[in-house]
Amino acid sequence: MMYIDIDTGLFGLKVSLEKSQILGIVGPSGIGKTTMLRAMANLNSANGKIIIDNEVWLDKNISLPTQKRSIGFVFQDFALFPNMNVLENVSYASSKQKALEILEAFNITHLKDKYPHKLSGGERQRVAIARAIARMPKVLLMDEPFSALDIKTKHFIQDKIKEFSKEYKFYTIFVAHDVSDILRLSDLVFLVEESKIMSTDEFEDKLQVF
Amino acid sequence: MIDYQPFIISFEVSLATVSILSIVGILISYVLAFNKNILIDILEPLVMSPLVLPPTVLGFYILQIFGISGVIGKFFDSLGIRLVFNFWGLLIGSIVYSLPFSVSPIAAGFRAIPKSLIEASYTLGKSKFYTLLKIIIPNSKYSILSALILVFSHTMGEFGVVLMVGGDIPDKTRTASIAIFDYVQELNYKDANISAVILFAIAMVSLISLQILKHLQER
Repeated sequence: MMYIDIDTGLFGLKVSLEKSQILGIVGPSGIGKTTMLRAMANLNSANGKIIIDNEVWLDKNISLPTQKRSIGFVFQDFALFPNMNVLENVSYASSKQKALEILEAFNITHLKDKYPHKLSGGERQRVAIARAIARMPKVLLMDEPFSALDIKTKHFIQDKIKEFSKEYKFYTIFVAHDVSDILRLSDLVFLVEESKIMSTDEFEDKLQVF
Repeated sequence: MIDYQPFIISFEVSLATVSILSIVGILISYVLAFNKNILIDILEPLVMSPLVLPPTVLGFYILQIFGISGVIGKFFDSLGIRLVFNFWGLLIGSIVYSLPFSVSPIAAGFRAIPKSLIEASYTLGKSKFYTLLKIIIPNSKYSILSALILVFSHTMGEFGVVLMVGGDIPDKTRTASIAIFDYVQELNYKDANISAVILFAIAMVSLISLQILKHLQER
């Protein structure tokens, strides 16, 4: 069980997730969605409580440093290490064998010897997602993870994320501006403006009202 | 026949200074580049002060601290080690004087690294030291190499501080630039000229190397 009740100063989020559940965060740009993801990784400060599988990451007395939180973080700018090739990037926090397995699953094994500056935006994004999953985190945090992907690749990657989250039993929280991504990948949706958690079906119904 | 011993001494001091500053410079640059507080605001001008201080002033203070009656010098003297008017004096003077030439380019290189690369390393569970070794240093390699070339060439031609702290002892602390000064004092313009040409050539090779590095970095 993942329990979050935090406030970044821009907005608050309170939710409980079961293992393998995926939460999508929706809201207008500039409202603080990235800040919220960063606060979960302790890259930004926040008040409140985060408890992951009975391990306290944040409360009044504890604030686990980023390095001690078992997270995979997909940055908006991908943040691939320019001095390392794709395989070295993906195996930075995992074994070479695990990295190759993930690359294979994401259909990007052919990129393993390439350096980030030789990759397209979509390829970089896939590598960034692969790297975050390869460390087998407890929580996968993704900031606009599909923005550079075409629809076919996007759906393929989303299916893989679902598969991996079930296989490795990690919690996923992601931010996306495209509601179709939210509908396709999420189990739960958090609407920042209404400060409300809803199921994907409820969210879809709400969209149809407009 | 020109005496090459001053060049050998300058070369040894330069190599030792580069070796020490390759570690010390990186550590100080890391502290300056990734911390913001009042202590850093004081430390940075202190590290950069040799750029603007007259070498004699710097040499005087080094003598005050590392001389046999200085705070540090007295301690080492009790152990039977003298830190001035020998090779150690040359080395201490060179390290202090060349510190900004190593810290300035390296800190600029560190500051140019996208913050998200460092954060990505942390989110992947890696410590600050591991991130420094695997991400920050490799992605600043041109800045670090430029700094070390600058330190080497700067130390090769150093005069004021090494004269104050090392003295002008033939075969011990007489460096190449001090030797040129001595040749001119003796009106021996021929040897002064040869020595000056050698130092000029070393400086030019260093500057051309820096240009090559700059082009490599831009590629």
